[in-house]
Amino acid sequence: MFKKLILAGIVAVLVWGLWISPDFTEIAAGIAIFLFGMLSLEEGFRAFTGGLLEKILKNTTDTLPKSLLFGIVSTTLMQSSSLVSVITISFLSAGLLGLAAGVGIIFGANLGTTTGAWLVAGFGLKVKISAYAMPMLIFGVLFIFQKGKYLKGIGYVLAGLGFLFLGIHHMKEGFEAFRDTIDLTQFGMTGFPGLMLFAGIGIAATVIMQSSHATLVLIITALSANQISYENALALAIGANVGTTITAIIGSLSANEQGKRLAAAHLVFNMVTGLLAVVLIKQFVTAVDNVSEWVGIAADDYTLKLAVFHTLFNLLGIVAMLPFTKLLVANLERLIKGKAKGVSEPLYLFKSATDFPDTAVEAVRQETLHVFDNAFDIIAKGVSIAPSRIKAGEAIEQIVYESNRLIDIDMESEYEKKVKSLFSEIVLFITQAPFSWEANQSGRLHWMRDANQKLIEAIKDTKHLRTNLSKFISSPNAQERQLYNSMRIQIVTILRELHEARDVETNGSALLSLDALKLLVLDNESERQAEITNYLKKGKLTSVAATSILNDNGYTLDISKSLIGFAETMFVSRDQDVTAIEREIALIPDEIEEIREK
Amino acid sequence: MRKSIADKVKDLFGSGFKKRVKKAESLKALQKELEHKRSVIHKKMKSTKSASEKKLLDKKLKVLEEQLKKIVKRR
Repeated sequence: MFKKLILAGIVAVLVWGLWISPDFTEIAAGIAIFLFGMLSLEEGFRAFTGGLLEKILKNTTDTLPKSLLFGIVSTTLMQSSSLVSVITISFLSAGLLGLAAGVGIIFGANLGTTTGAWLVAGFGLKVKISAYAMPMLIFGVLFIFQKGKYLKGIGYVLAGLGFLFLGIHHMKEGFEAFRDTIDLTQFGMTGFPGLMLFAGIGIAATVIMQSSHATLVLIITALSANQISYENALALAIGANVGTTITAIIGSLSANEQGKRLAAAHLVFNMVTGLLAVVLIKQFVTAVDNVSEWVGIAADDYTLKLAVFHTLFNLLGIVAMLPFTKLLVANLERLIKGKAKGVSEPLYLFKSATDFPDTAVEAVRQETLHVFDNAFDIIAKGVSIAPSRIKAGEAIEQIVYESNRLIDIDMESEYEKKVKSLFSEIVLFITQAPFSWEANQSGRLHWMRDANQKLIEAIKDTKHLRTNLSKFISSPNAQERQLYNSMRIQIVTILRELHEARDVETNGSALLSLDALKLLVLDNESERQAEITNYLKKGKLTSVAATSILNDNGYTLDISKSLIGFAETMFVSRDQDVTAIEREIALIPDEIEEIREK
Repeated sequence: MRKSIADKVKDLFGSGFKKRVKKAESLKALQKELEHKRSVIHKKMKSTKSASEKKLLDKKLKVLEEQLKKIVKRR
């Protein structure tokens, strides 16, 4: 309701402004064209997210200085701190980035965004910028109509830049024409009240336009037309810097706790920076004069001096906040806690993860591993072993022989609650993605869906195995007990190996170690078959018991194969080149058979 | 014949060459990693008392030998 009222108010003000002043119309149209240009630019850069960006982010954000640099460079190139914030929140939610790295990127983005003021003040106002806009729009639109993803992306970037330039041109023209009718500086205020009032206006303007870049361009063009005083322009710039956090806060609403922490870090940084700028405004003005004189900016070139001011106070913000990054991260983690989620609720399938295909694929990967964790517990309990003992690293025989009582578990209900519900959420998440998947991503999703199905098969086979296990686990017949324990040992061995291979980044070549499990499973199965036949011959097993054990031997083989198959898909390196080499070296069934025959 | 020489030159200096160099480097790194794994398994074999673990380690060694042979063939 409140939002609707605000929108109605804005519409009323705009209609009134358009009615009484053609110059106001030109300024408002300039802002609208500029904001449309920002949207187009963001759309263009989105075309380049998909593999490449993930690679760059991963390789350039492992230390705080690197992530800071990434924030500066990416925002300078894309000219949108909002887009960088949204990407960072999305990557953070999907677990592709750590909070400290995310904070570093946001700090850097704040400095990177100041290059916009330099570009507009130094270039946009000094040349006839609209002359550059036309060819950019023509080629931009031409490329947008092409089929190729990257060409389309370039088209959106070009058209975006064209609209930005056109918007700046109209704002500039509007303010210059406005000067002949009305002098806005008469509404200016000096001193501390002026500082606070204009900072407030800067915040409000940025919240409405959701772009500090647009606010800053508006300030610079108004300043160049002498429609606002230099002093008030500085206050507006401070306000714009604080107001820009709204984009990150809105973006974090659909993110998990990590995304919310990052948005909070952004707010803290910009508030502290704004506060420093307000408190030290006199010192800043002197510093700006000194720096401007040093770099050769004319004393009356207030637009460039505003750019210097914008850079200086953001730089001071970074210098002031960087030493406290760890403290900030620790406090945010303490204060913003994730909701305690039940094992049957998805942990990674957030709406913010669907902003980019890479983060969506990563979210599905993490959620599939969550399904694995749940399936691990169900299968372990299904063969009457406490999951914690498998993970603890005790000798497997000891665990199995000591666990000679059936663990009470309703496998069907556990499967419905902890596996099937999550799998349904994954399928829904994939189908609801607001973009079309690329062939490579579709392939990965297909395999992950397949991996989930393998876990389901393993659970269902365990359920069958459990039926007889409940009879034979404490059988007075030593041979029956021994055969079932052998099956349990095999399943526990695989579960433990998979648990250890789960952290692929620290367990290199996990894919190759699965070959040994395949060999073990085949050998065990044959050995058990031979033993069953032998016991049957010697009369140590009845034919009824032997048939049951033979069936369960088959189930054990199937459970093992499903679990190994799952690991073959999921426990691979994120580096596709490394995975390709490992797949080439992994043994094919014939080669495993050759080893068995030796 | 001329085309085949041109192809060879292209292959030598083009992306195919770079790919081969990268692959060779990856294979070398993998070989090192597997050899290290083999020595760790040998040590584990001596210390473990669990029959099932011994059995698995034995399979791991057999498999590693074959995988290392495959790497040597490809390098």
